[in-house]
Amino acid sequence: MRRGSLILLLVFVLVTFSFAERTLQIWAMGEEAKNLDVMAERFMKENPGVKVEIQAIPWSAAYDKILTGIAGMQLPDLAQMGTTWMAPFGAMGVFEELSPYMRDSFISKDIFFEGSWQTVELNGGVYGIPWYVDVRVMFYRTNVLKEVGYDHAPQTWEELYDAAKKLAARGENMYAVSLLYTGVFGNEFIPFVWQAGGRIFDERGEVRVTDPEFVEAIEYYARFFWEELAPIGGGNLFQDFASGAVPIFFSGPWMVSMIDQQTPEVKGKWSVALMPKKKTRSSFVGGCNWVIFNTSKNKDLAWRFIEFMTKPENQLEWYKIVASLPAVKSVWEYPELANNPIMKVFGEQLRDAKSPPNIPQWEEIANAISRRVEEAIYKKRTPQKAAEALKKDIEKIVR
Amino acid sequence: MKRFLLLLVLLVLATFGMSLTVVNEMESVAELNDDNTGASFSLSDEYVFAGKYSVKVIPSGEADETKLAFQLSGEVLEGWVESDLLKIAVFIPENAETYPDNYFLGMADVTDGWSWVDGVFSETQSLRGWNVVTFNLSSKMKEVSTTGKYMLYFAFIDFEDGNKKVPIVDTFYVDHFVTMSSEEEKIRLYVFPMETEEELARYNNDNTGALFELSDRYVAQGLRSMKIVPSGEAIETKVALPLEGENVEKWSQGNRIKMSVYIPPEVGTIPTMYFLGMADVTTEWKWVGGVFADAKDVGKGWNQISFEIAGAMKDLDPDGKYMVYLAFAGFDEKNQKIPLVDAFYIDGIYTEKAKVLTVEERMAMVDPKIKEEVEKMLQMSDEELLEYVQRKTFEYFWNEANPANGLVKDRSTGDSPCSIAAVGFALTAIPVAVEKGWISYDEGYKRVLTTLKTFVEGGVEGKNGFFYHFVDMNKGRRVWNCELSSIDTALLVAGALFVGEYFEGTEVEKLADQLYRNVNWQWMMAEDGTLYMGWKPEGGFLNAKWDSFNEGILAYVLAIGSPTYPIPAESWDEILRPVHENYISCPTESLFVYQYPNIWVDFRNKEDKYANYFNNAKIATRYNYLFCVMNRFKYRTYDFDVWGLSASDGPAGYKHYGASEGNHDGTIAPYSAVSSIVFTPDLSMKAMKGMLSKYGPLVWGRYGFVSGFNVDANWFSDQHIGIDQGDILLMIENYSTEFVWKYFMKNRYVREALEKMGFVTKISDYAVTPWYRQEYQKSITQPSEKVVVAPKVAKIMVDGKLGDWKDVPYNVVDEDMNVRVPGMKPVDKRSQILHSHFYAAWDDENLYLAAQVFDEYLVVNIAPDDLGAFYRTDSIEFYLDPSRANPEAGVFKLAVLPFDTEGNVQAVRHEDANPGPISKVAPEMKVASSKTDNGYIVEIAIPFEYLSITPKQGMEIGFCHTIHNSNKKDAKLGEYVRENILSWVPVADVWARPEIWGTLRFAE
Repeated sequence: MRRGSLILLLVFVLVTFSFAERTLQIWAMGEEAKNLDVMAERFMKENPGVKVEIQAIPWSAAYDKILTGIAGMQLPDLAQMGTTWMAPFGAMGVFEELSPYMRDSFISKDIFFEGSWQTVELNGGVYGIPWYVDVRVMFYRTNVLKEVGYDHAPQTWEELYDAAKKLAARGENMYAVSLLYTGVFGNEFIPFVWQAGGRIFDERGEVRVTDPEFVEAIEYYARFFWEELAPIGGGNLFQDFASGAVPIFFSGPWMVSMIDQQTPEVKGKWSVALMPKKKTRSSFVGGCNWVIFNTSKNKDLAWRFIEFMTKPENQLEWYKIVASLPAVKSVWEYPELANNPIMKVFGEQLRDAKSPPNIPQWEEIANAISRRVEEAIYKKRTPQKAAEALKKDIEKIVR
Repeated sequence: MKRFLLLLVLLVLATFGMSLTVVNEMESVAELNDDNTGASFSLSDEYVFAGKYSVKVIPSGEADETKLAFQLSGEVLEGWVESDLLKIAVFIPENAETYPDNYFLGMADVTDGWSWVDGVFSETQSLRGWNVVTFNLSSKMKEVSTTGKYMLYFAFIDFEDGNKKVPIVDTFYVDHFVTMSSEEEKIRLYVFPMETEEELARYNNDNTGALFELSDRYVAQGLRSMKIVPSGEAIETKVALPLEGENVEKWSQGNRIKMSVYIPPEVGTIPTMYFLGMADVTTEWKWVGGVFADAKDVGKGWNQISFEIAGAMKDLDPDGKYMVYLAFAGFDEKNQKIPLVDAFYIDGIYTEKAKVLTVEERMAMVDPKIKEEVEKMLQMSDEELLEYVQRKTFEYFWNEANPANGLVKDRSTGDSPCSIAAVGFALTAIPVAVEKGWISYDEGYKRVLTTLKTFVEGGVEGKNGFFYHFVDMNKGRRVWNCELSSIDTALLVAGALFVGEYFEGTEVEKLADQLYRNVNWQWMMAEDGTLYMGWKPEGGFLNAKWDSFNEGILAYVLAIGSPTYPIPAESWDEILRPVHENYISCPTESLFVYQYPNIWVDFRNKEDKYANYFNNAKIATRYNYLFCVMNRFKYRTYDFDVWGLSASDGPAGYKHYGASEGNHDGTIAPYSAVSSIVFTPDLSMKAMKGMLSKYGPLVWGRYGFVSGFNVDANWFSDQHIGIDQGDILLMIENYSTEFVWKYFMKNRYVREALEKMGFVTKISDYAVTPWYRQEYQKSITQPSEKVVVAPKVAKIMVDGKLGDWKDVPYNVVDEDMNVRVPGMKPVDKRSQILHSHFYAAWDDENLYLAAQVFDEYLVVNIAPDDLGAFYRTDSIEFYLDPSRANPEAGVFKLAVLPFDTEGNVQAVRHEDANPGPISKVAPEMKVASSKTDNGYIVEIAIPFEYLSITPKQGMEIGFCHTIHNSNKKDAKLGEYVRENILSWVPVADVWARPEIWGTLRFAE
């Protein structure tokens, strides 16, 4: 009897050992990294014998961490990857191509928002799976807009401009809109191009920034600065929003909780709305994807984790934990999202949201856009001339 | 590491250079002949490109070719040999129907009889008006003897319908025959060409009453000039010319604005005052500046006027709009300014810029032999290619050495001195050449023996067994006041020990042993156990030490292994080894740092408690490669097959380039990618082939790969550097046969040294050992767990006194919290006092900070207007990272100088989100300071708006406090005298790493 149980115990130990040998290493960044262990716990529960190790990396250190990881060939199995980093690191050939994994999986292109899926496709292959998305919408002070006769958010370019004129006319140091113009603001500006029907490249890869639509977007954007409807530089976004000095800005979902924290005094006096319409109401979609490194020895397990995080119920769970927007469309039908008036706007905006060209040169292009649009803002060049200079810049970058 | 000395020399070299040589000014027709074509020549002052006259050529109207010939001899030939271009100016009148459109230059040697040299056609297309016709001189034409005599024949040909020669009937003009080197070729950028009515309509007389007319007589550029008819009344005659658009860019290209002025013979008062003024009219009229031209020689006929422009007059905003004013006046006998009366002409206002050949043009100009060679190399198998590169690289050590003493040149220039490091590489290279059969065993042995004797028997200047870094090639005496160098002596000794093993049992082995035994490493050791970088008779030991990880680790192997003057093995532990994620890094990320020790010491499958240094170099190399690749859209030079950042020649001289931000400019060091072959065989082969196929003829020279190139800057070195040559040759040999490692590792002292240093044999795939990784991690994460508690307080007066702070607890930075930075010393507690009691508090408006610094002597040497880099002297910093509370907020780094030379406190934000003097970037901030009996106090209030946070209890932001200290009592004004850095987070580079800063917590 004694002997038997000893053997049993031995077998048990061996079994747990052999399972525990499988460790899934994950690199995650920012707020996600701090909370991901909750999901990892559940995953481990569902997959006995698997240990998930999460390494939290501050965003400021992430780029170098990935680069040295590639250099030292010391990479985790799985990592969170910002959408604009997909192309630059993808070009280094370190991501696993995931099409084969998708064949026998519920994961497919159709379950995600289109703009989000664009960020995982590189050169025709699938190199990541969307995890969560960011999309920019209009934040506005309801009561301040009402003062100038708007009982709704400005719906179109014309309305936004009209409202802006009226808001700025309220007095000294009164503005209408913060265009978040600091440093590289290419990502802030580009939705206006899309709304006007413009684009950076056409299907043949030709640079189209001198098209009338693109120039019109520069003109429209710059006009807010020329006419002092938007403050140039500086300022405190929260304070200005709370005081009403700058009652409109465009930003992502992270701002919802931050406004509550930073300026609780305006609770109930602000809301969100879709981007203003020209031809479309397009916005910018960012966020993060999952990637598997092709050096991983646990690719099957890594894929299982991705599937776990993609399941609608888990996407919802994740939304409840950190309030980041689910990349899976169907999750938006859960009452937690569908019945939340603010989230509803984000959900709707996601259906008209794009990501910038998924090429490794994007960072340089965004820099060039910022530089040239700034020249238009400061009237160093006309919007047309700025666009012409930008065309040359981009052609040089992608040569 | 000492290679920066070279920079100075390079700069001096760069300022030498030949300018253009005037072959014939065309100011006289006496020496011209028509070579039997019937043409006649006379002087003209109508159409003049330069000088006073041009030569009017009246063709016979019958000859198929109109020719002009003259003799070349004397001084002109000195310039000729340095040139490869000959240019002539040709004016074709507007109404000419037949005119030259094809130009031929023939040359004959008439030193002794007559013999044909060579001839070339020009590729210049000519138009009516002034043309500059360029001939590329052939190599035969350039090979002149400076004591010889030559004839130049210029043939002017008019082709009709492509290939039928027709006699030229119409008169044309030639002027200004000059030669120059193609590298010095200058092109003229005409800003105000004076060509059309529309152009003249844009100019005005600035209310001086002058009239302007377009003229087709007296032309220096194009077909027209501008006739200026003064009013006869205005004291100054003026022309105002608007400058905008493309012309602004042209204007800024050169340092001079030039123009031609023609004063007709009938003129009474000659304009001798020439003034150029400028106003910025972009928004409103704003004076920029003005200059007078030196015009004392101006007389009748043609004159060239040159205005020097600099500063605000040169560096214009490309999008700005300007007005240029030319003012002319004459003087009477009493030197009083008087009005001009008679008309004169001006033309062709231009700037000059050096013509820059495109990379493609440069490629096209390369000697076809090199192109062929590169083509051939690209066809070779990898093995053949590697050996070919080695062979070519080796020639350097054989040809650029002095066979009489074995000394080897630092670089391939004619007057280069010897670098003792290059000798170490040469010693190692010679057995490679013997093994390959490039030289015989005897030749190799003899050269090695000669070399070692030179060093052991006193033929090279040195002290205590160390030698000067650079010595002259013949006498071995110190040059450039260079230092007695520990690392370069180590490289020499490494080469010696290697040949000692290779020629085992011979006199060479004995001499090598003696050379090693002579080196007194103990003398070179500093108090803290690390080695000094060097010593100079003028100032003793250098401040810099081999106290952190870099190529210096080779010196430690030799110093610890010394049979005569060993330093303790503990010295090895004194070296700072910063970990960059997964490898020990030298922050400059220069590749040679990782390569040099690995050339001789076989670090494969060995590790001490810190690292496997071979794997370490491999990761650093891959990082260098990735860094280039990730920056390939910023610098077009970089690519997947063009990479390698390391100390090398570059467009601005020799630099310690490397894979770190701010330390690269697109310059590739070819040697660094090639020598990485032991670490990254595939990437290195790819780089070798990539560089050869893309830029081969420009990066491949006499001794193989050149010392650097930069496609973005359109710069290609044509030199070779000894230590780079050695790195290439020896690393390829290690890759192919492990030859250098094999013999060097036989050395008993080396093996014993490694043992003493704690190396064990171990196969691993990591660079940093798990133990050290953990230790290092601990050392950097512990500080970030530190917390400063800032209580909420009633208003604090910022007055430099600590009265208001009595209820706030203080925190301490003490003498032990040294930040280890090369060149900085830990605080010497026996002779120094240096610590800070610092405080933090807040109210709804401000974050308050205060520091009481205890310092035995306060150095004050910064003037009030010198707001850069306070850390040069006694000063403090506070680093704040509000982004921990608000991701949108930027880092705030405040540097405070307690007292400038006028006794006032100064503060700036620097290297942060919004740098600049406080008065500009944070005007509401308050700062005060006061002296105390034992140091000083600094007190600060920062309004929260500058931090972009709204404080509340429990909020946390990143925080650190740093003290910079000097001990130099007689510090000069502005001098960099910092010796110590203390920080609350005493970690290398703490200022650049907000993630490791401690925490400041807002409490009630």
